[in-house]
This record gives sequence, structure tokens and C-alpha cells, in this order.
Amino acid sequence: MRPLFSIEKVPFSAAVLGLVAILSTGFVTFRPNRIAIGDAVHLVRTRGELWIVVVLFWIALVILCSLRFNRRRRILLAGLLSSILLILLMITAGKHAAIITEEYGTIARVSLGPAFWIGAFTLIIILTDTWQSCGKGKSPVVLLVLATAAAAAFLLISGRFDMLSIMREFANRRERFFSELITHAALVVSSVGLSLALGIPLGLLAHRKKRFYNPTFFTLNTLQTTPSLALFGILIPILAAATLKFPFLTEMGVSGIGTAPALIALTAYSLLPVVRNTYTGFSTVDPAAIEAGKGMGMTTSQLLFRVEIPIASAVILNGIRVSLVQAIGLTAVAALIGAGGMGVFIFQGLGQAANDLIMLGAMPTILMAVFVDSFMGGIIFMMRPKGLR
Amino acid sequence: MISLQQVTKVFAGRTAVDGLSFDVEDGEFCVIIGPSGCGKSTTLRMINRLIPVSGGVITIGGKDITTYRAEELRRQIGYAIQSVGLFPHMTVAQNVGVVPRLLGWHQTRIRDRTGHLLEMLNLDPGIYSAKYPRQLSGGEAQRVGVARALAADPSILLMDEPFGAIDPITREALQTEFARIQKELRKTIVFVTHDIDEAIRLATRIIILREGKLVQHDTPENIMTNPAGRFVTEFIGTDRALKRLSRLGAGDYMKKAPSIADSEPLQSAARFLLEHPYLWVVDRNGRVLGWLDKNDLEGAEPTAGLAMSCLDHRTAAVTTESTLKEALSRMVQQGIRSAPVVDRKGALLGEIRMEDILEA
Repeated sequence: MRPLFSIEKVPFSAAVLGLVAILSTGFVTFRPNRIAIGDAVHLVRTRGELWIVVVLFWIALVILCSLRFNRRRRILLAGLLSSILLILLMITAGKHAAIITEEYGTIARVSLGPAFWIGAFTLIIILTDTWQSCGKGKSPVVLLVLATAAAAAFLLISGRFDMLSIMREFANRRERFFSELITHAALVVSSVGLSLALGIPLGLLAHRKKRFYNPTFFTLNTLQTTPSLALFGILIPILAAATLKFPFLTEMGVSGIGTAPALIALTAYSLLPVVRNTYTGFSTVDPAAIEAGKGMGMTTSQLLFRVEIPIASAVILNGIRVSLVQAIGLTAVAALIGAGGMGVFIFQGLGQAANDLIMLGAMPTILMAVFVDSFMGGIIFMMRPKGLR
Repeated sequence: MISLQQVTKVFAGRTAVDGLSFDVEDGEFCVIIGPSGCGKSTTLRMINRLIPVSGGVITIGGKDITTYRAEELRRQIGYAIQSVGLFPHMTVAQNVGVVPRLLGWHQTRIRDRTGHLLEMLNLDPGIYSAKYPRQLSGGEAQRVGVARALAADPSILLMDEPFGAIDPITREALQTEFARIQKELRKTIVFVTHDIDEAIRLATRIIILREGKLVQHDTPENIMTNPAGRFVTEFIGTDRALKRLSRLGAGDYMKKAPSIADSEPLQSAARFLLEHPYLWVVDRNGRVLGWLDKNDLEGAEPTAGLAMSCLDHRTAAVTTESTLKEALSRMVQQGIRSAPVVDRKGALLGEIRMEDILEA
């Protein structure tokens, strides 16, 4: 007889860990006012009775991950259950917050606790595993992820989470939030754009002329290992001195703090992945292909555009992807030197010991990074030349 | 005609090619051979200006090659190399069509030409056109490389050990095919190799180089019968007689072969064997199945079917395009005194006899 149980290691451990976490630590934190010390509220103590559904679904998930049956179906089902649970966790927290706010008034704050975060994290791990193990037919998983994101967005817009502390922080800063979000995105796009304009020719140069290789990568590696805070700091006096010496810089809007130093530092950090991957990409082109192309009468630019770039493009795009994700994270630090962006809320939150304000800055930054990463991944996958797949 | 006059190449103080002069007539298959480092590849690459000359003049059709734009010149000359260098992101058809596209041919003309060339190199266009280089075997990739070099129908072909990196059996098959193609196309070919057998088999003229200098420039026959000095003698090796066989085509030495269908009774075989020492046994499509001699008749019932010695035509037979050397090697391998000659489907066309090889 075939055994009834067969444990799928990753999703099973994640599900068990998640179940233990959501039951044993605080699901939400209750605070009588915004900066008071909080009390942990366990899942089973949350109001609105939805917790029962959460626990039942979660137990079902654990059992599912240990049962033996059609592997693909089990994996997809685990993914589906995780998505549902993720949405349920949000609804449970939102509902609890709504009930508490009704009882205690708007002074009281309900914020998300460790049980929520660890639980959500383990569910995302199971979803990632579903993506990894479902093999070739990924369309159901893509659909699932899109549906989950759509459901979360719908709940957000429809006001289900409005009474959660993080959303209360958002409501107080709605306009600022969106303007900083745009600033953040603009900083990322312009710095990565600049690093492309500089980095791709630089990578090509390092590949074509070997004597440029060492100086280029020595400089970029040094830059990359400089702590971002230090680099932002160093740029302030340098730019300040420059504006004193060349007044036209001031007219152009350059100053020691603000956008200019941020843009310079962010571009510098974005350069290494772009240059490195451009170099590597061009190095993967078989020298025999170049020799043959030349021998057949291709000009240097024909070789570049018809042979080298198409072959190198996937690796270069991956460098751009790394640069983008890295720049999204680093831009948060740029708020320290007055460049704006989501870091504004993070540093305000740090100053006020208001965790939810920190979250308001951090969450969109993380989501932006995850989104850009998967978006670029999709682009790279679709653009990969068929012969190289 | 390609003509080199006192061509010299110096790399960082080291002379790779030293005052080299020779002519390659139109339609000639000129093989440049020599030990590694003798400057043969350098010489080839100077002809299409991948390497500039340090001294001397190279002319094609009487015109100095430096008067052309390098790219223009190269588009007029086919070029195939040992490492093939197919473009991995392009299909086989796109790879073959590279030079025609550079020359601005019309799409349909490129497609027709590509299909024609793939067919000529025994690659079914229906199967191979849409394949990518990484889906090809070494031999297939090499064929595509040759097709690509021929794409724009250049009158001159430069080939740098094009069959060097493939296994001996595939190499021999490719050499046979290429010899057939050249018979048809009559290109002017400059071909570099370090394999003397390949040179003797394919060349109409051989140039032997040593340390950048020309040692001997002559027909394969003359080089074998009249080697210029010890270097050439040693280079050709001790099996000169055997090497000569690789220049002789099986088709020219083929004799009629006595054969019998396998459906015939033993009696009629016995009748035949009065006149012939042995018989080839073929099936109803004429495919060789084996052979039969008097020993096979002894003790057999006169009415019984044929009890023959079986032979696989794929391993034992040769084609009209094979060389006598291959025929001899098949005979030795199979322990037979004559080798059947078959067509592509394995049907018996004739035979090559040991005594004819010895007299050739």
C-alpha cells in the first residue's frame, strides 16, 4: 500500500512555522494613542470571529502539504490556499481595527503585529515555492498572483483597512505620500537612466580595450562598497564647494543637498551592475562568431547591432534589473540629504518612534522593488532570443 | 586568379610569413598545408584582409585587394572556419542568409538560395531552416558553415580547417560531399589544413609551408612522387602509396558485379557459381544482403534457400563517390576481396576488386 503522507519540505515547514507564529505571537498591537506602548493581541482574541476561518484554513494548508496525491495539483492547491489566507489575514486585521476604532474612538491605534507579518511571510514563501515547483505551465500561478494582488488592491481602495494605523498615517499625509512616491520613482528612473547612458558605453569600452578593464572596475567596486550614508554625506561639502566656485551651478538648481547629490550618488551605485553585466554580456559572444561575421564582410556596427547586442542583451537587461531594484532601496536613504522620496516617512517615523509611519515609507518601497524585479524578469524572459533559450 | 607577390607578415618582431609568392588559378582547389605555426592561417586571413600584410602585394583578378573597402572585398569572398562561428540567436536559414542580406538581396531570393544551399549540403530545408545552431551536431553545424560561405555565390572561397573539429567518419563524409560540390561549382578555393590526407584527397594543388616560407607548390601527384627534400617526404609520411588511393574515385574503378536475388533457389546459384568465384545476394529492391561462394553450397540441400554470408551494406559497401582508399579499408575490415558499390538506397551498382586496387 502506498503511504498516505508524503511531506513536501518547503511548503510544509513554512505552513507549520506560519501556524505556530500566528497562534503564539501578537497578531495586532493595540495602542490607546499613536505613540503609547502597545499591547499584543493574539489572533484568537481578535474581534469579528474571522480568526476561526483563518485557523481552519491554515490547518487545511498544513494537512495539504503533507498529503500524497497528484503533485502538480497539490502544489497549485497549496498556492491557492495561501493566496486566500493572505487576503483573509488582511481582512481579519482590518475588521478588528474597524471594530476597535468604533469602540475606543479614533485616538486608539491598531497596528499589524509579528504574527501578521510572519504569517504573511510564510504564505508568500509557499506562493514562491508554488511558482518554482509547478514547472512549465506557470499561467495558473500568474493568474493566482494577479488575482491576489487585485483582491488586495480592491480591499485597500474599498476602505477595508482604513482603520489600521498604517492607513491612518496614510490618510493624514495623502497628498504628501503621492508626491513623494513620484519623487522616489523619478529619482530611480533618472539615476538608472543616467547610469545606462554612461554604463553601457563604459562596459563596452572595458570589453574592447582590456587596459580600461582594471581602472573601470576598481573605481566602480570602490564606489559600490562605500556605505550609501557616507557617500551622500561626502557629496554635500563637495557640491557646496562646487556651487561656490561655479555660480552657474546654483542657477541650474544644484546645491549641496537635495536632488543633485542624490542623483549623483544613485547613478554611481547603479553603474556597477550595468557596467559589469554589459562587460559580461559582450564577453559571452563566441569569438568565432565575431571572426566569422568579420570574415563575411560585416562592418563593426553591423556586428555590434546584429550579433553582439542581441546575444548580450539578456545579460545587460539583468544588470539593469539589479540596478533598478538597488536604486529603489537606496533612494529611501536619499531622503536624509533632502532629496525626498519614501525615505521621508521612514525617517519621520524613526524620529517620532511611530512604527506605522516607518511602515508607510517602507512597504511601498518594498512593493515597488518586488514589482520592478518581476516586471523586468518577465521582459527578459520574453525578449530572450529563441536560439539562446 | 589570386596572386601573392613577396607577401610578408611580421607580428611583434616575429616573422610569420616570409616573402611568400604564389598564384591560385581560377577554379583551382589550392590547399595550404604545414605544421602549426607555419603561417598558413595567417596567409589565408591576409587574402580577405582580416590581417593586413606587412609587405608585398596580394591581387585578385589583377586588382590589388587594398583598393577595395575591406568589407566589400570580404562580401565577395566566402569564408568558413574550423570553429564555424554560427550566430546562436539566428536560425540556420538566417545564418546562411547573412551575406545575401548584407548585399541587399530580395527576401524571396534569399529564401530560395538558402533552401537550395541546404539541399546541396544534404540538410533538408524543411527540417533544418528553422533550427537554431545549438540544436545541431558538429557535422551539421559545419555543413551550415559551408552553406553560409557559399551563400552569395562568391567565386572565391577561403576555408580554414573547416572539417578539423569533427569526428573522422563525419569528416570523411563531408570531404566526399564537398569534393562533389566543388566538381559542380568550380570555385577558386584556398583551403588550410594540417591533415595531409585531406590535402591529397581534395587539392588540385598543394602548397607546403614551413616557418612562413614556401617549400613546395605542386599537384598532389607530383608532391607524392617528387617530394622536395626531406621535410616534405617526412610530412607526407611513409604511406604515400596508400595516400594516392584517396585521390582515386571508386566510380572510375567499378566493375560489373555478379548478383542473384535472395528469392532464387540454390540451384540457380550453383549454376552461376560455375562462372564466378562468388555472388552478391540482393533483395528485390537490389539492396545488398550478403554474398555467397562455393563453400556455402557444400552439403546444402539443392532445393533449399540461399545460405549466404550476411553483410551490412552500410558498413561494408562504398558509393561511387568514395575513394579507393575507403574501398580498401572496407575490404580489410570485412575480410573480403571485393567491396560492393551501392547507391544512396543501398542498391548494388557494381564492385571494386582488390586486384584492381593493386593495379591502380
